[in-house]
Amino acid sequence: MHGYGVSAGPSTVIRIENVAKRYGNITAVNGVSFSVEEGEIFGLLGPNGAGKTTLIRMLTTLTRPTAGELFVAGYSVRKHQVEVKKRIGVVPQQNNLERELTGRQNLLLHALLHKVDRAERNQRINELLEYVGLQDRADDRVQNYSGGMARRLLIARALVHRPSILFLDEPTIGLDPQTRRKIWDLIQIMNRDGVTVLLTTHYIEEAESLCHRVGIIDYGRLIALGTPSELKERLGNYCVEFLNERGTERHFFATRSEAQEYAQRKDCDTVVRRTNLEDVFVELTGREVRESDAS
Amino acid sequence: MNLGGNSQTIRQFLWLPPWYPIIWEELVYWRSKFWLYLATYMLSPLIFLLSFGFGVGQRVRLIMPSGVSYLEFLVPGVVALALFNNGVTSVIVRMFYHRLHFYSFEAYRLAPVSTLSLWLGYALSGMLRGLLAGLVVLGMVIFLVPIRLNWLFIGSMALTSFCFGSFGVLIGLLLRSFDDHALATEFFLVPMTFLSGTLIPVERLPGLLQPIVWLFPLTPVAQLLRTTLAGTGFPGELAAMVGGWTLLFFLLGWFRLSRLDT
Repeated sequence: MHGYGVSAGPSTVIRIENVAKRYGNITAVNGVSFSVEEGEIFGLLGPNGAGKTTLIRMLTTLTRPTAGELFVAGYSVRKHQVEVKKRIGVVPQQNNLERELTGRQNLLLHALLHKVDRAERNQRINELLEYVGLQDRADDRVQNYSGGMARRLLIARALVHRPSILFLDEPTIGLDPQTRRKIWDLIQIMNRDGVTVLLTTHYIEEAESLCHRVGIIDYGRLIALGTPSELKERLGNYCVEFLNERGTERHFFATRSEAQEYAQRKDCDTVVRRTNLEDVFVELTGREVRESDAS
Repeated sequence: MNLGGNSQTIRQFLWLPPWYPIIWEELVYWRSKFWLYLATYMLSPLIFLLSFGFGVGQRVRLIMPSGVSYLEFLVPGVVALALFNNGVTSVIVRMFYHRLHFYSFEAYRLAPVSTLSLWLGYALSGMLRGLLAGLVVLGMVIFLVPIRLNWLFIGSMALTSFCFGSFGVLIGLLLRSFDDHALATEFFLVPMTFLSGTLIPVERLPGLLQPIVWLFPLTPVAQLLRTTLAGTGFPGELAAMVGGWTLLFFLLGWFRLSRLDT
């Protein structure tokens, strides 16, 4: 079950064909295929260690695939790395800013690396600093920034050279709710301005509220792909939830009346509600606590 | 404000060399820490000059193979050490922290520049750091020891600094942990510092060591700087050896960089 949406149309900007990545005996990504259309916000959802970051690293030229082909903006990632790099912006999971440089210097360094014209450089940097709300701290060293400020600067840096495709790896991990919402706003504004976005997350709410389409990845395989409402519909739009000796049980139904009918037959307290993306995620990826989460 | 996408393409600054941003970053550090660098670059050479040149050297009266005074012998050796320690170490430390600690090296890998430009940027930043340290030493010793600078010597300093910048890039790319850093220092850098004919003539080392130390890149460098500073001609063989080391470091470093898969 790993061959979703590989047919490439004229508006396809990311195409992944049967891609695998192995590190010795460990398979991080296993035969994944899908495509992303221009103007989409596409979310890769999966538990820790599912292979999301590896997939993003392969798409952004940092990691070589063991098998398969990846195309970004029409260019083969394997053969035309420089052309791909010109067209993408990357917001990594870890803060990889230069700590000893100021926020402004970090953006200037990126502008130099991407050969942004001198006449536009300063204006572009000032605009982006204002856009992410860092104009007052622009000349402070990054080592004095909070996690949220660093994350906003990473987003600004990824946009300096006006990429048409933006990759964000866990963009809101470890941030407070206010900063998280601010970053969601930034992502949506970027997308409105024509940037195609591919993001990874394991926050269900993030995927549900931001993404036009979601791919669920687990143990290196793509196990589901569709819009959030399609995925919920496949499971059943209504959920009956109750607690018994095995824990919380959930049953899914196409209509509210079917769900209510079932709930009335149960001789315990039940909750009838709409299915959410978390239900889809848990049903598909299983309920067991992963070692990486449990440790 | 337009954030990106296809509606507006940014103009590009075409003539800027692709390795320039790496040097630019290095110069930003220089500007913010200039006095610290200056003091650091003066300290070790000063200790070597005081302890070996004016201390032990004066008392032991080493018999110099070419009949020069020990201080005259020592000065190009200390310059070679300054080029070596600062050129190699600055790149190793920068790459170590940027690759393995702060991950900022990935920002360079994501830039649309070739592997060769990336290699060149780091090698040149090591070269500049080595040259700065070498010039600081020269500025210091010129008041203590009668030396006459010449263009061959300055050219040799530039060649050797680039060689050590390249060496730094190679080691910086090979390191996988802090332990590796310690190993590289203890097993390569420290033995080279003391056994490469910088402080003691190669001819005065134990016979068994003499051919072995010619396997260190610092040995031909010390000899090259010594010969060119003495103004007794251009030792093409030594310059070719330094050039050969540079080529080897380039090939290995470039190969390693182009095979990075993290």
